[in-house]
Amino acid sequence: MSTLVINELRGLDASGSIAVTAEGGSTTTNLQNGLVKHWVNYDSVNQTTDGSFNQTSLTDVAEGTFTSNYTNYLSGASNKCILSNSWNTRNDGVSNNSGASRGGSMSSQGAVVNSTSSINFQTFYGSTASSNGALEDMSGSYCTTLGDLA
Amino acid sequence: MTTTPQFQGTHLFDRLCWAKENLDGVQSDYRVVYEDKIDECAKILVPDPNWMACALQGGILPPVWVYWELKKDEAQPDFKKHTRGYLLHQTEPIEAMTEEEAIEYLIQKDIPEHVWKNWDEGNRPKMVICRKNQLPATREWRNAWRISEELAA
Repeated sequence: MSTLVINELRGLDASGSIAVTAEGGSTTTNLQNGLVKHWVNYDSVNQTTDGSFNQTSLTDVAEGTFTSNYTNYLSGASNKCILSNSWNTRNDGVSNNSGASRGGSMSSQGAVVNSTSSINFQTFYGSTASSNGALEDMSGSYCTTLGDLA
Repeated sequence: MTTTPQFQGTHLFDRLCWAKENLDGVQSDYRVVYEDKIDECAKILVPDPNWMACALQGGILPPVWVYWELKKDEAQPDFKKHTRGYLLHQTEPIEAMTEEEAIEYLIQKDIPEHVWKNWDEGNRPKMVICRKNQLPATREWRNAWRISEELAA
């Protein structure tokens, strides 16, 4: 077994593109495309950012609704993938927020135009057979961006 | 104190990686409350701790006008992707800011221009800089939060 100790990886043909051989050995995946370019963990109950990368500020828009503003913009507004999740508690894990059966979920806000400078996202509690889900603040609102940087 | 490398020409993302590795986050106590639509509740801008560390350190972040240029490009009807991203990386980084200057920078970058340029026009201010402890302590009635009428000029 060999250990590679380096400070920087750079593609030979294109410095910003490195192919990694995938599991089967016959196809490759692009290293740069697979890297996270932004992430944030916002505690909307206590109104603080608990962890982040590539964010200048977070706009607390309304209950369960947020905008994370990028420091290094993306190159395009649509060529991206947003991953999000939430910590389903309002008291830092002492108890569940809305019952384990209802869960917590998130989405990118639908009524906002795609942008290279920010991402809007929302936290919900889920619905049951007899009652609707709704937007709600939680102790952890997680949002991650994959895509190409400007 | 950590010395910032000479970063002009270094990709901004690489600078942020360096900052994450070398600087401790700074949780600002400042919040900017603003109203940009008459039928919506007040929005609250929360400064990012890692970004604030970069702002106070100096030599890392591009000047705010770079973001205005990129926003202008994106506002063009035929915009597909940024072709002037080099402005983020090639423009000389700005020197260290005070926390108050950093908040002004954030206002001009992340709050709509029609709010911060005309914040004091009208019957009451559309934007207020405050301390976190001046916000309601709980999130009760969050969707009804507005800037206080008592702040009217």
